[in-house]
Amino acid sequence: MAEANLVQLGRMSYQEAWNLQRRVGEGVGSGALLDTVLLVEHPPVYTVGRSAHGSLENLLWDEKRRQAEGIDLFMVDRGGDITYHGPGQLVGYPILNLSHHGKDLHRYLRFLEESLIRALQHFGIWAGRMPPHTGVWVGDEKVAAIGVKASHWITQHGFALNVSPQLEHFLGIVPCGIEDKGVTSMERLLGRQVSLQEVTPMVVEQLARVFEFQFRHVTPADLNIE
Amino acid sequence: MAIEVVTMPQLGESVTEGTIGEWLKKVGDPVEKYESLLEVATDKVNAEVPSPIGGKIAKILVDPGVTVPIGTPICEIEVEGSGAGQEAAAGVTPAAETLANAPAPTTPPVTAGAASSAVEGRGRFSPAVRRLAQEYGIDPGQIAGTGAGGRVTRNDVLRVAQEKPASKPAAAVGTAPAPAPAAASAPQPAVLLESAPAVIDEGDIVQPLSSVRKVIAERMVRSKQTVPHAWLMAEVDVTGLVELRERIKDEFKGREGISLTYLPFMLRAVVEGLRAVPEMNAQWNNDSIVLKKSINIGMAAATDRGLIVPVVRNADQKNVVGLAQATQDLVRRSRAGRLTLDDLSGGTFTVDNTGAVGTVLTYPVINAPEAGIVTMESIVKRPVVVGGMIAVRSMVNVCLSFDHRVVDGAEAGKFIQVVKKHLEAIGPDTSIY
Amino acid sequence: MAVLSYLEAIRETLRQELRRDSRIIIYGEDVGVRGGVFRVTEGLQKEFGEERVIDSPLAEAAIIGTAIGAAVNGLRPVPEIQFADFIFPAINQIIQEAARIRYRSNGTFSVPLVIRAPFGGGVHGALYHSQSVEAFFAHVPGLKVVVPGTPYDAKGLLAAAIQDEDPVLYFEHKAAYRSLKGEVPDERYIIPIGQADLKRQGQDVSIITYGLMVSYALKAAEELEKEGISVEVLDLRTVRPLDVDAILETAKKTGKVLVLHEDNLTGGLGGEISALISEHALFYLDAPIMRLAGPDVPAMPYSPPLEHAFMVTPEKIRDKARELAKY
Repeated sequence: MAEANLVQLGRMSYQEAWNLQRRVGEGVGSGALLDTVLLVEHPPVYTVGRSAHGSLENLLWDEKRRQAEGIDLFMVDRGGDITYHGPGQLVGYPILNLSHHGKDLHRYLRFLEESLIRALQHFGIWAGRMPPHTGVWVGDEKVAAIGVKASHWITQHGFALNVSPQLEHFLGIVPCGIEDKGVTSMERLLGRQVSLQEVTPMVVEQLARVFEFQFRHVTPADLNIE
Repeated sequence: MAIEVVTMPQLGESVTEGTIGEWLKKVGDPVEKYESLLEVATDKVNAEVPSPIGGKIAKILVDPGVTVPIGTPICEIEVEGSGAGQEAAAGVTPAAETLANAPAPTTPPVTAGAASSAVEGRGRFSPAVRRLAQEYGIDPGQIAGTGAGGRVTRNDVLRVAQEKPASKPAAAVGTAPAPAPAAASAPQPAVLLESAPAVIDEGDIVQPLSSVRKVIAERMVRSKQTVPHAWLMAEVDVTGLVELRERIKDEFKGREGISLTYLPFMLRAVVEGLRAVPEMNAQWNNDSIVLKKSINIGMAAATDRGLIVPVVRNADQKNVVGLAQATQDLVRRSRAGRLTLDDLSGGTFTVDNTGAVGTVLTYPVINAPEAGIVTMESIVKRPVVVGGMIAVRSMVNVCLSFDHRVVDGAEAGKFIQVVKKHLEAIGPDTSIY
Repeated sequence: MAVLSYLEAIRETLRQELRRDSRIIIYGEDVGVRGGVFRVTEGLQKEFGEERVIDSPLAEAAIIGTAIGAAVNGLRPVPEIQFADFIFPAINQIIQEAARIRYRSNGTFSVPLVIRAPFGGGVHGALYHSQSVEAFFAHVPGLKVVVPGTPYDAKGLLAAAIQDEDPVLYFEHKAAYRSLKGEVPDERYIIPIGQADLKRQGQDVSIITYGLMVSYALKAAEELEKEGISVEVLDLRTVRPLDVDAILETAKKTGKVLVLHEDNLTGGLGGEISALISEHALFYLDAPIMRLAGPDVPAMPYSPPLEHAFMVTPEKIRDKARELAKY
């Protein structure tokens, strides 16, 4: 069991969370910080990863429509294509030094999937993998997306679990650039209201089991990275 | 200046390939060690790959978007090789000095740091490599390794030793100090004089020298140039031996599974001679003479690969049967090309069975640094005078070349008399056990 | 000469020995009426009667305890432990009594006893029917431990074990029972205990092993030959006492040694063998002595993929030997 920081940021803008990720990344990289997992809920935002190579091909709505829906747009340095974040989605940014986790990028992806699959199982949702499409799937529909950046074995970005997001916002994009698959949420799968407050503790517990973490619950201020 | 090749890095045990995302450096850009060089995409991960070395980007080998297996060269970096450049320049000087001072040590002196630093990086050797390198007087640092990561393997040492068998310490140079600190004595061809060049006429065939031929030539010249050969011969009556062998050879073959030749009897007689005259089992060592403890007898033999001298070790601890088995084993393995270097080294005296080629008198060349070589010529029936009567006896000539620095005619004569007496003492009923 | 399976070779040897020496008795769980769970003793009770081929209670301590008493009193018991995994209830009798009686009585008494036990995995036997236990006993002075790797050796070693005056553990690999076949002479012959056998000559790498792994190593060696790597395979046949001369000879010859066993890595025979080599042949070594063995997990897993992962296979041997050859 290794100690790790868990920071629950609550609602935070994508930009602000991104800045925080980078500062935490430097801290983890230098050894000043333990492995740190940030959990956050974003206002509506589309992010485009490196696999898109700068193309907005998979963004279906035009500028006007997007702004009318109140959705931001960011080009980011993670792997993968376009995705959506918004209220009702549990976003996790595990900033880990993979040197202590087997130095294996794919294994890391599988561990993220495993944590979420196990958490979903607790709620009675039998989710699984659909190689080669990284992510967590229920049938043909994706319930959690994954996209990661690694530099010198330090990870950034992570996963987004659809607890109860506005699924209509996914209509504006081809999620991850995969055309023939849909998106779903825990709320839709369970047919009842599900809150982030209800889901978060179980996701934390499974991350701890899979990565063998003993979490210290801390605030951003505790990290001393200002 | 040196070019270092950067390969697609290992991104995890389960990751077999990666897609070049974006080059973060252009050709011509300087890059520092560990600075991010490019992005690689694999699955849903975008990984920044640090440069393994500092330098200048010389060439980008794989374009963005292309997927290549782990280990594929992806770019070249020109390294500001201050170290490499100096080494190359400095390396010349000690080499020149070596040529000027003939008896230079083979192992590079520690002070010539620049010359030896080229091998420092892989200067770790297995116990087997160290032992063999020492035995053969080879500097393992000078061998190009074929093992993992360029490691020098045991087989690499054996290969190099085989290519220049003259480097076996005790047999290295005629005038070399015989015993252990062989590494200090260089196999220096500088003592050799140039032969008069051959006259090549039209239609003559010029054959390049095989490596074995070269070694033989070098050794023969060295022996003849550095060892004052003296020679003598004795006639030996081996009628009893011939009768003994005739009587028991079939039974012997049935029991031991090998043919009984005259050679083991000769080896046995030579062992007796060496025991009686230890000075013959000795080596010249410039200001001293080394009396060898073991009696290891080489037997000169012609093979497809040329003249070789496999050695019967501790010949003094074997009876005729043991010697027959040992020689048979060496012959068998030399025909199969399966002699080891141990079989070919460590001799302290040589026996040449020249009778096999039908001669009755030869003048053998000493296998330096040994002090002598003895031949067994053809056994022929001749009329000889026995007790005032003429009788037909089986006779053989035994010829000895000896190093006149080590022994004089008196000892050499005594040696050959012991050999003669021992051979003549064998009768039809002598036990070979 | 007949071609027999490993199992048949053991059965026919038992039959031949029972005929030869009336002091020999066989007993164990289900060895009589049922002929043993693997049918090794099938037909023997019919031929030799209930007094010589005896069905015992399910009580290993009692089986071995009474066998020791019978042996000291002049019989030559060849008890069977149904699975080597079940030998542990009898370990007190084996180690504290059988192994020591000759020593304790200053040579007055001896225990001519052969304990046969099937061992090893790869047969979906899971946790309690797959263990390799030879290292526990190889540790004990006073015991001899043989692990034959071919039908021919199975016969010669069993005959040797039965005529030995001291206790011998005879371990038979379950996966070898029906998969290994070979020519076995009809007449009785002895393979001396403590004598290894060079099953294959080679130049580049020596594999030292025993039991089922011998045939796996030979398979790997054949594969590697196609790649130009020449592998020597030394079959120890006996793991106590070890044939030290043969071990050192092959180590000196190739300078590269791979020790194989299915038994767990830590504290296995591989450690002992590599210690012998580094003590006596250091200056011939051209690479680290490598070991390939079962992993240090508590028991053979039930799940087929995990069982496969546990087992030392010809593929794993080939890859490891290649790594060593290229070192």
